[in-house]
Amino acid sequence: MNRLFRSIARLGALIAVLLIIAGPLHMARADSPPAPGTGHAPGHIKVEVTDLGFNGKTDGLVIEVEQGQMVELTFTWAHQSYPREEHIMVLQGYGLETDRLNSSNREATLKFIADKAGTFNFKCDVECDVHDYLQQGYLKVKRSGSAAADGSAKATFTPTTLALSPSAWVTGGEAVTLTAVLRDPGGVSVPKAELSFYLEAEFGGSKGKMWFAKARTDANGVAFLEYRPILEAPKQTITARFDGMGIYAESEQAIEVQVIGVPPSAYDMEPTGLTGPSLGVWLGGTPPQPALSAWSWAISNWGPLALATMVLAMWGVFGFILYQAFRISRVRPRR
Amino acid sequence: MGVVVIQVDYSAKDKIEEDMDQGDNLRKWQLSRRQVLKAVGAAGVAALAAPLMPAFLARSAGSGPEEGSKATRLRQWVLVFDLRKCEGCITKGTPPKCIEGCNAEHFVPEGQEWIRVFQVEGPAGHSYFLPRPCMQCENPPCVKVCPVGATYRNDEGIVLINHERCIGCRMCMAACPYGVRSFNWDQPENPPGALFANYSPQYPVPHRRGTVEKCMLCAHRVQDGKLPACAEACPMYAIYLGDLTEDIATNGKDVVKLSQLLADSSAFRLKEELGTRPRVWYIPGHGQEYGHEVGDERPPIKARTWQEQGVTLEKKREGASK
Repeated sequence: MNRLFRSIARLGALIAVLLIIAGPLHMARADSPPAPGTGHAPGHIKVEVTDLGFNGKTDGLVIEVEQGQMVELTFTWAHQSYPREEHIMVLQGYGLETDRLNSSNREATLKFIADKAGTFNFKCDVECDVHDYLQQGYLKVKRSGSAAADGSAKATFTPTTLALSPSAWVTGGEAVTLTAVLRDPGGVSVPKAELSFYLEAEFGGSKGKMWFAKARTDANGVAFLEYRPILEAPKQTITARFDGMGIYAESEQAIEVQVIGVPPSAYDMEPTGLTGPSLGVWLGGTPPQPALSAWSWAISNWGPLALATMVLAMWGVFGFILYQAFRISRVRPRR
Repeated sequence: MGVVVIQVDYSAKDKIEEDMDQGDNLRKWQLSRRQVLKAVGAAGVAALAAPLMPAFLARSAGSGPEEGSKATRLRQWVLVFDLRKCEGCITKGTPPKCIEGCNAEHFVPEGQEWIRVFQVEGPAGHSYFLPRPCMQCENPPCVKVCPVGATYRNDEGIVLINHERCIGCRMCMAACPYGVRSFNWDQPENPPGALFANYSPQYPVPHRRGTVEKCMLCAHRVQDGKLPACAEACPMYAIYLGDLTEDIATNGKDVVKLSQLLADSSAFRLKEELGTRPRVWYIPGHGQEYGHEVGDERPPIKARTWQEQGVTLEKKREGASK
């Protein structure tokens, strides 16, 4: 009995010792940032944005992942002393950025496949010295054996198809609604995808694609954009582009819009002149855009004529006085 | 109460009148009522027309076959200086290329710089570079004060000077809040052959003594679809030429949406509070995109004149034809 009791006591002591040793180890693991998954398993990484930097590290947080791994990098707003702080986190090299992070929108995630090897800076994109120094982190993507010479790995991005419509005739000054539909090969819509729209433009001797708008797909993978031509070119090529958000393959689609007539200017020049206080009277060049009151309309239209009449009348009076003064010398006395 | 009796000697008056009737010379000075009314009418018209003259002169100063670009709609030109990219060319170890490009394009007289690069001390004690051409104001004080309508704003928003009309009063120089105008006190040196060049306010060569000069946004180049000389010469692509009508801009490399460029980068204009509405915007920065260190206080190197660069009209023509 005693032997049995001693054995149980020994086992209990061993378990206690193990618990004593394993407890702090477990706690230490819980405190440190969660390790990303290995291989191609998804790596969920959480980063707390605190007053003292990412996860409280003032000298820059370093995260390591494997090349080709799916990464979910979640930023959590956790400021204590700065309740009005706002951030937009960007991952350089991958061209990714989060939505705005603030006290009301406390979490934002970047989900992407780490196909490029190297060290990439992720930081807050709001220009501020404090941000620049404190909100810094580095994503180290360890090169996999199957990587190409330039460091890129053949990641398996889900292909997408982007359909843009309609190719249309637009009368200058009118708007046409462009519809972009983004789907994966299975026909499943891709929601919340940001699409960029470009125009083929030529200006000042340079040709290129001019970014002019962006739109986000809805739950059905459809994005709408109201396009009102500004460029003078009668044929305008519009390209919608989806950059893949780091998990899908890039895709783009171009259409041609024919513009009839000359679109209105994108700029309304502010007129130069003087306003009569509280009268709404405008003296100057082109009158301001709001409709003129009857009073100011009358002054604008008849003012110059009235002014001319007044000036003439004044000169007439002066002239008449001068004439009278001149005549004095010629007045014959009454006899 | 006394009574004052005034006696008038009518005989003397009669004598004078008789003399007047007899003297032909005096008769000439007599005016009929019709003549007086005519004179009054003419004076009235002149008085009315006087305030309108500067506007009329300014309009007629700008009339010319080469006015305006070839686009259907009128362009409204602007310049944007991206100070994030401008580092005064000091990291390249050269003088500011924008100044040299301008000097060579316009044969800018010695002692003048139509675009100047200032080294400005920033709020954090660091220095940054500020290129400053003519602001091409929408509400230009220089145009308003010119008594002869020699300086005017063309339909595309470029403030030009008609040197054939400029009388050298320098009122415009006093009125310009940006100090961008220069005066030719002496006859400036012109390149050989320039005296036979076709002068136009868009390209004021040859330069003339006793006239005011300034940057005219390379009006002769932009209307031909080219960048201004400063923008073309900038190795950092820091200078954008823009058009407000089409909302487009380029630095010779990228074509961008002008309004987006200005809005995304907190662009500002100089002395906006004066209401001159300049057509030159600046994107704040200190050349950081090209590695200009905050503590680097080296001033820009002095730019070479067109003579030092060895530019001639022939070379320019050859370059343009290539």
